[in-house]
Amino acid sequence: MPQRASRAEVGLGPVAGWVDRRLPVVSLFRREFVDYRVPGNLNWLWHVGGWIMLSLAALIASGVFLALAYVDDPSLAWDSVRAIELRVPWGWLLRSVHQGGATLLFGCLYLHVWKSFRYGSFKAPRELVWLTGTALLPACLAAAFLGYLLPWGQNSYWGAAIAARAAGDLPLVGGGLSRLLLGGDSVGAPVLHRAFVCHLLLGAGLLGLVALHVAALHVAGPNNPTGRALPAGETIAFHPDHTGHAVLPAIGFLAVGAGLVLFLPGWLGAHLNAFPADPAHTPAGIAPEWYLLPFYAVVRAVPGAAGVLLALGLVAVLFALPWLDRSPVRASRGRRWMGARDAGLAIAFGGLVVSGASPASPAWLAVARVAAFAWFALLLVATPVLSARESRANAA
Amino acid sequence: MTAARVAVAVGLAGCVWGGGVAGGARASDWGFAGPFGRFEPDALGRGFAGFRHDCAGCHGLGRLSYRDLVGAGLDPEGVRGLVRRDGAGSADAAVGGLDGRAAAAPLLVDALPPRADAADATVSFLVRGHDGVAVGRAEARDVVTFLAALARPHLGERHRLGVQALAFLGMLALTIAAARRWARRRGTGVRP
Repeated sequence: MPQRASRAEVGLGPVAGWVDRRLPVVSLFRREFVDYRVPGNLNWLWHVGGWIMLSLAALIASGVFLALAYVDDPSLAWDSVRAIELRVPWGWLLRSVHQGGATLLFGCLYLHVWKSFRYGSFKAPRELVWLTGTALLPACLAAAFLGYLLPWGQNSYWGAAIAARAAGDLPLVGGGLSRLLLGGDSVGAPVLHRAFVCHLLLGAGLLGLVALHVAALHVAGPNNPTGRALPAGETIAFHPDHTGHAVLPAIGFLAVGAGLVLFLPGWLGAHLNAFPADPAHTPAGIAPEWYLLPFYAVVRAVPGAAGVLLALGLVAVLFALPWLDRSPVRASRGRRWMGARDAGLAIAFGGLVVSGASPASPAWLAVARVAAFAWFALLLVATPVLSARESRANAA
Repeated sequence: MTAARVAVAVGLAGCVWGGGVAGGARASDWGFAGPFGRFEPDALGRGFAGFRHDCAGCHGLGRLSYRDLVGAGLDPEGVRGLVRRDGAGSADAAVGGLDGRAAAAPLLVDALPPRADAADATVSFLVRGHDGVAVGRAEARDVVTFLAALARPHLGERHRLGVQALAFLGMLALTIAAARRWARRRGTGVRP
């Protein structure tokens, strides 16, 4: 298309040109987000990364305004959140966007990770894309947990107590880590202040990690559903071709978000945080938000330090994935056993979420143990064995 | 294009399904249940009066101010009348009552979140009576409506905005889809 080909030759305007000769941000943007070539065969799972950015933007934008009205003091925090709901103009909407945004962010993050399992997006040359992205996961989880403490409801208070106890269970670093979190020996004002400061710091820090993740992606180029490098003829321009494909799915995503925020606020929210923190009364049935349930399920099902280490290990093991799976074939499509592994990982993850949401009966604790075992076995044993077997078969 | 259609269809289906969940499968005549639910200002006013008369002896509302009652959906003119009648001076004054937030917890636990089944259970609880206080069914319904409005303020505004947002996104999607079809016919569309 001739008008497309001439785009790159069009000079920048006087102002943009003046800026670009001194600081080439305009040409950088044009190179990376206009002329940049992406595969033309991407399916809808490749839009999820963009949806994560939308969720993160909504979280940061709403979070800045919430922070202006929030007071990080145990005697005032609860009332300041009530004031946000009742008195601050549009405060109810900001808070719902912030809560719903977290659900959307984690839904997309978990899907994004699974897409990488499915299409081998973590393999060479994209190891750093994977490592920066995997680092985003614990950062988001920590930010979400700390943010959940801020309303200082029953779940916040007792969640902090459980987390401090779990941290205290860790060998060697436990005692120090627990005191660092609490700022003392018990849950009180220092932990709330620390949670607020660290929540804001992590929120801003996430932007830096996302920038690294996108930069690494743009060096290696996006993977595609075939898992093989595409010839130049099968790529399209980032803008307007790829963005053109992304716009309707993005509108669908925003519709889901609007439905969640405006028709189902607090749908997935834990009931108990509707009550102010009461140190004298331990409520029955404390549970975190759904996106923390897998980790909660493991801590609950495996007592002591082992449970805490295993919960941390659920994410930590992901960092090793590029070196666990050495098969040069990326996508699982057409590989029966790798496909079964992908399904198994999704089922194990779902099992942990459901177990964490269920009462701590022996049956549900057993489900959590089996699911955690499956997660580690599939990643640490099945993945290297399958990939080594495939590599041998390919060499033969 | 297939992916786009699937995404839009999933989005719309999710909203319809979600609306059904919010409405509660068990049919109820609570005005605030369901995707288009709203709190009726008159019921809220009666519920607040009932709360003060029969509940505030033991249960407080924290630092709730008269202005907060407007946020919960009470008629602003009626709230101004309350401020005058109580001699509170300003709408930012606390509505008073005991600061018994923890004591109110058993009552509120069933009213939150404002779902039809939780509301029905709370009405039964109030009608059965406790601590020597039992109220009629009509008053119990009004009090529960008032508590539910405190749990989910701005509900009518929220649902109105939800309808507007989904209508806007739907029209935007249709416009973009039509523009793309038109551009493709002229041979200037984005590459498939």
